[in-house]
Parts: sequence; structure tokens; C-alpha cells
Amino acid sequence: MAGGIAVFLGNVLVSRKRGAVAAADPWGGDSLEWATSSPPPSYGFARLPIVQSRSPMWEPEEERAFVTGLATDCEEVLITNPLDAEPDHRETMVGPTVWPFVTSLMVGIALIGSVWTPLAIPVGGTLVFLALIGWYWPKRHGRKSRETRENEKDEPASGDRRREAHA
Amino acid sequence: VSTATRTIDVSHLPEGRLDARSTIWWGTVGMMVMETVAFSLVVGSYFYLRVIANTWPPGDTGPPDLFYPTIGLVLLVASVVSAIWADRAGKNMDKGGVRAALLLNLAFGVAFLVFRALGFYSLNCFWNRNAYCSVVWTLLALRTTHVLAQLLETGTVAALFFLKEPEKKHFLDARLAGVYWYFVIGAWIPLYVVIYLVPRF
Repeated sequence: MAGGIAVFLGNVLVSRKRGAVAAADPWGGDSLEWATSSPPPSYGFARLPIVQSRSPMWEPEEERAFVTGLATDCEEVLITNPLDAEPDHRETMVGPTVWPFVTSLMVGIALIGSVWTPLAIPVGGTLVFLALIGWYWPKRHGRKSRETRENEKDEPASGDRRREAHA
Repeated sequence: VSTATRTIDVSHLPEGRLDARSTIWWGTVGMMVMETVAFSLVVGSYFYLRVIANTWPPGDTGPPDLFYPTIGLVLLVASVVSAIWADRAGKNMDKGGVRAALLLNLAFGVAFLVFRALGFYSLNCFWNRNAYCSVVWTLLALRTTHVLAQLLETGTVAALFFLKEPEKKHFLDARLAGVYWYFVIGAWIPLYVVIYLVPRF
């Protein structure tokens, strides 16, 4: 086993120095993880691909399709209906926030503390609840939905400016 | 050579839904399923103990008193009014309606919890007396935590509606506070039968 790991580590070191750098899709894979660049950007795909078969990457280039019209200035996801996967509505996701981390910390305090004292359950439970409120509560500079932001502006909404241009 | 790519434009689609098409709706239904399983496990333990016991409740432990829990049950069934109200006001994006319905819901819930607390004193046993008492206390503690957690959530949504300008997604939260309360009511009826009526037969 140690020999196998040594070969693997040796391979890593040698490949760092020599040989061709692998492209985004060196083996012509059939599934979507090969569609993005390597290393992948934080947002995954610049344009949301539409899957039409089990091997979307093996479809002819001219038959590939994409979703447009999602907001580009915040994280907006497309929700489809469950059975037919037809696009149904858009949902704005929350931006980066520290609250999930705080919440998990409080859960840890409640559970680890309960090893020593039963008091940790009500005290920890209260801390978890407060962290959840912090997570839920709308922030002054937080991520609002596109419609809310447009309604808040005095001028009439000019949403097209912020939407992705059609290809 | 690039060819014209086919696209689907989704910019005309609505932002969020206030019904079962929303992902948060399904998350809430998932919570209900999990909690139903948790209750079922404890109810299963209850009947397991009942089957292996010679008498039920065992020894000279009397069955729990009915007075406070029955008032609580009536209050809880009556609170379906505030749940329907919150559900509808959320669906119609009626801010005033949501505020009033959630406050009424909180009042019902707190009143139920008061009778729930009094009910602990009328169980005629403490949790460490025998297995019957332990399982009944476990069921009731689980149940009380369930109601308390939901009231805290309802209170948070209500506070948001009074202190902030709610967005569309918050009306779904208000609606789900009502929908979840249906579950809170529905879960109590079989539990009431198990805890208070089964020891009498």
C-alpha cells in the first residue's frame, strides 16, 4: 500500500514539473462537470446549461442550449417543477454570511456542554435560536430580491440593463 | 466557428412562489415527516412497554387527569382559525392580515403551553417512578419542545412583519407558519388519545 501511495505522490511531483497541462475536458467526458473550465470558477457555470439527454457533453455543439434572463448581480437560481423539469420561477439566494457558522458553533456548544450539565440544553438551545434569528433577519445591506431592489428605486425599473444579454 | 446557441429566456418568470411550488414549502413538509417519525418512535416505545407490562399504568400509578389537557386540546383545535387566517393572509400578501393572524396564533399557542405546563402536574407521576412515567414524560417533553420551537418561529416572523418591510418571500414564511400550525394541531390529537385515553382502557 505504501508503495502505491509513493507511486501516486511521485506522479504528482513529476507531473507538476513536466508534461502537457491538462485542458478543461482532457478525456471528452459526457457529463456536465466537464463543461466548465479547469480549475472551475466559484460560480460553476457562466450560463446555466439545459440538459436534454444523459450525455449532454456528447451532443452536437449546435444543439446545446442555455438559460438566459437570470440576474447577474446576485445569486438567483431557477426552480423547475418536479416532474417535467419545466422552468417555473426564480429564487434569490442569500449572499455570503457568517450566520450558518455561528449557528453550528452554538449547536456544538449545546451538544458538547450537555455531556457535563443538563443546563447546556436550555442555554445552548437559546443560543441556537438567537443565531437562527440572526440568520433569518433581513440585513440592511443584505441580498434583497431583484424585484424588491427595483421597487425601491425611484425611476422605473430598467431590469434589462442588468440581465444577461441574449446570445 | 460558432453557431447561434439555443436559449431559454427565464426573465419573465415570477420571483418566488407562495405555494407548494416553492422549495421552502417542501423543506417544511420534510420537517413534518421527520417530526412525525420522531413522535412515532416514542409512541412505538410506549406501546411496547404497555404490551410487556402486567397492568397499565403499572402498579398504583393512576391514569393522568383529563381536566387541563382537555382544555388545552379544545384551545388548540380552536387555534385552527388563526392558522387558516395566517395561511390565507400570507397567500394574498395581506400585511395587516398576517400581523393580526400571527399575533392571534401566538396568543393561542402561549395559552396552550400554559395548560400544557399545568398538565405536567396532573400526570400523577414523575419521570423517574417507572417505565410508564418515563415514556409519558418523554412524549410530553418532545411535544412541548415542538410547540415551543414553532411559537418562537412564529414570533420571529411576526416580529419581522412589525419591524421591517416584508418582502414577497416573507409572506411565504407567514403562510408556512400557518401551514405548520395545522401539523402542530394534527399531531396533538393522536398523542392526546395515546397519553390520556389509552391508560383508561
